[in-house]
Amino acid sequence: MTDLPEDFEIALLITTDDRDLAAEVEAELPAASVSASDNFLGGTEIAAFLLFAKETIGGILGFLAKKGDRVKDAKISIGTRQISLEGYSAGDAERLMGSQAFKDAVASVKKG
Amino acid sequence: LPQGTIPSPEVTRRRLLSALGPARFVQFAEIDATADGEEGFHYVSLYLHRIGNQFRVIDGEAFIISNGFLSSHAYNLALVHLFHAGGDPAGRTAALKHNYKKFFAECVLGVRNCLMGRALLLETILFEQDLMKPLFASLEDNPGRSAAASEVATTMSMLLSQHELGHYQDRRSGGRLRADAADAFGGRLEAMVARTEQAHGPEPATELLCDGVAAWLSLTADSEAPAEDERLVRLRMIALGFLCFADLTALQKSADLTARASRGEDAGIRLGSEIRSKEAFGYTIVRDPAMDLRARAVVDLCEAEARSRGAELFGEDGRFPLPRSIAADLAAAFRTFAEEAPGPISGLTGTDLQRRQLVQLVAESLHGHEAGAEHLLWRSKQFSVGGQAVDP
Repeated sequence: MTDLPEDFEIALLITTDDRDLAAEVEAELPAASVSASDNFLGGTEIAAFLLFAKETIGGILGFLAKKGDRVKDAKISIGTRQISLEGYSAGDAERLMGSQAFKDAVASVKKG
Repeated sequence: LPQGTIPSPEVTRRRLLSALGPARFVQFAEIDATADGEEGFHYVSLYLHRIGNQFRVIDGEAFIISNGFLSSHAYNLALVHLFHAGGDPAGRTAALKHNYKKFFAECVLGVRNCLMGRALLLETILFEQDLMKPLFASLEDNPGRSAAASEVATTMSMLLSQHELGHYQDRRSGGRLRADAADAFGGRLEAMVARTEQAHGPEPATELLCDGVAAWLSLTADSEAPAEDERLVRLRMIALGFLCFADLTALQKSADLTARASRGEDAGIRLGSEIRSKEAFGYTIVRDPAMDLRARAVVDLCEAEARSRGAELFGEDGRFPLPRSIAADLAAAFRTFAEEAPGPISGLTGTDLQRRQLVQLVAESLHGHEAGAEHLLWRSKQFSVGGQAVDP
């Protein structure tokens, strides 16, 4: 992944019933700007906005590996595309970044 | 953004949209702060194929998100309710099932493009359109019915927004919402919240508090007090709204589970194969006990409020009847909405086994075709924004 646009932001999106998880996202991903919703459906959707880097993806997958049992759904949002993180483990940053969905999402950001 | 940088309004909006997903028809409105210290917020209306109504703060800015998806389905449910009032129960159940199936299918496809979502949506488009056609046709001769259905949809939409505003106000005031709402529904809301807190804990109690405040504001927000018969109409609309919320919420949760559980089934589809799929494609249906509890509580509040004014919440009278059987009617449709009807069926009024098998073939052919599924979702209905049709 050498052909990435510079300084673009991605969002980690977590759906959970555990409202305490937002504070843990902030603690584990200190560079992130974190927002948690109140949903009419109940539960919360946490969004953590981060500058893209391979280390960022590694940090996200590492966080999910630790806290995944409290997460109902996890995705990353790149531009207008959302990519499910289901099936990726802590050391899978390269595999995720090599996936077609990821490449398509990055291409959409590059197009603007 | 480098740490310490204050995001521009454009960055904050981009972040909001990134958190919400593939929404369309997004419109922002600024609600200004008031002179007496009420903080301002952003009201965002959009369309997204899930119940995405929520409140959130991003970069210090508060956003109330209102999704037209829910209110558009609420409108159709209200129309079924009004059209079939006092009429044929079988026709009402068939139309309710059709609307629940369509809502469920759209929620499934809102999560991901999977066979079950495509198949059920195609059934509603190809084989069930005569269930709603006479209802829409009847509106030309009965504008009052359309107005009443719109009123229910608006009421439901407002209930959701007021619920989220309740959370916002409670947080900003340091938990004073409950004290401020102590007199709502003659003190019965406070008693119910206290009982809920004791039995289920603080979070369900807060949800019920916000539901109750939203219902109370919906009933009393006008500067001029409505006439008693109009107050009863509103109570009935609020009660119907919460009964529908309970079902639609359960359908959303069922759709989430179905979409996620079907990854393996979808992976087994072999496009181009002359061998028919032997997979049994399934769906998962669950209730949401917490929302059922909340809905029951609000209906009880509405019933007690009506009685305190010498009226009956349930009844076949007036411009907005609400039969006592309404909860059972909705439950009957919910239980069976995805089941095939016994054939043969005349006209486009249902899906039997033969039609289901045809639909499966067509739905399979769209496997992996993301744009095709998106096309089905967005072209199978008509949208309007700010009262203007998107495709006149």
